[in-house]
Amino acid sequence: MYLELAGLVTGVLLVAFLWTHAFLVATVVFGPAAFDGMARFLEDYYLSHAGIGLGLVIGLVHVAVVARRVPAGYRAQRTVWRLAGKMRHTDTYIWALQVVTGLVILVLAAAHIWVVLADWPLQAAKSALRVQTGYLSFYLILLLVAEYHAAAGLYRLLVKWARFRRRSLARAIGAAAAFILSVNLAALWALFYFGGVR
Amino acid sequence: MDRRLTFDIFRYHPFTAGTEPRMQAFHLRETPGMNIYAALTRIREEQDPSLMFDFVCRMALCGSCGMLINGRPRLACKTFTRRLPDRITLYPLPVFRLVGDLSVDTGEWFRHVALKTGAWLHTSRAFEPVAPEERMDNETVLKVYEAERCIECGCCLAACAKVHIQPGFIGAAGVNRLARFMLDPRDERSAAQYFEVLGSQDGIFGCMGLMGCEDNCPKDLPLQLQLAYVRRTMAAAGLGPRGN
Repeated sequence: MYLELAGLVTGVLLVAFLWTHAFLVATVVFGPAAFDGMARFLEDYYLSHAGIGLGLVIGLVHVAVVARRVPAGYRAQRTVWRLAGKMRHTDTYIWALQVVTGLVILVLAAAHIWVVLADWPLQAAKSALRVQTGYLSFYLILLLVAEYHAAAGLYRLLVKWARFRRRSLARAIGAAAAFILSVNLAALWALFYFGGVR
Repeated sequence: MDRRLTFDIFRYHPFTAGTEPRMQAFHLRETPGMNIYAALTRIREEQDPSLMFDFVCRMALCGSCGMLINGRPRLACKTFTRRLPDRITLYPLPVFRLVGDLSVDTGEWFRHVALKTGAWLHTSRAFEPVAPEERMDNETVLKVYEAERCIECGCCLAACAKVHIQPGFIGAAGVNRLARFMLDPRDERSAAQYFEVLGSQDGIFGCMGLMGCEDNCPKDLPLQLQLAYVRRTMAAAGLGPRGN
């Protein structure tokens, strides 16, 4: 039970982190100056240190407590995939993809955090340079995968605990995820086109 | 209508020496209103009397005829051929012990889980046959009945990835059955006592929320809400003060 609750709490916190992150990055839409101002503000009050540090710890705890859900053995893996394939059952597919995206995030997010920290402090010009020098596809993939994982995780969590039927939950979460995704895409687009220009 | 249907049926008699599992094809002309149960009966009467499958009530009340119909757990009596393609594949339900062909022993599984979880009314009061019945308010009765509608056909278990990979997990049918007693005011067990049988990886916290159970329940039980209710109650019991 404690593992279940830990998975829930860390999951919610990570979604909060991810979605806050989205809005912060999206300040670049209002120009590089806004982004740099935001970054400096967070830095001055040690908010980015706290945020990234806590995010890392929570992320690792999340991985540790949810990994038990992944079928570990070859037999179990084969069973689940066969069952999903035979039944053609949407929610089982959603979960399988949630597991896969989780693994992808583990690798890509590690790279992303490493690159950002190695190039500290945060500046719009540096972020823009990354996006403009061929890493656009990296960020697009990470973005899609992370948003999918967050939405699927939030959906599963509400399915497990909430008092509402699934249809309405799916619609609400789909709408929220689409909104956050568009915010992120706007930020990427801004970084790609004028992030570096002052 | 007037289709020629092909049934690919799993054949295996585990208790007959020297037989191997195999698929066998049967052909039938579709008749109006034909369901899988009717088709199987005709195949057995007209083509192969050795074909084994379970049935009792023919109207989705007994839960005997659960099987995999084109890969999905369904009741044979409630599944109509007009909604299926020309080629229909039938397998016995997984998870349960195979008796032969499409026949499985669900009773063994359910009896084991019922004994393991104490799935009956626990009360210290002696039954008085001549006393008037105790009253229960309508709302409670409806909730109890909703859980009680489960016919224990096993479709939810066959559709659950967790049941497949963790044999001790009691599945939606097991949780729903205990929810029925949790809702019943005559049951004297405390939340902490329920936690003893439900608050583990084999109980409610083993559920991954894939909802294969609800999407394949032939009786359309509200299993998502039922599981969530038990999960909330058990989390509260687990976090609350210990003791009975």
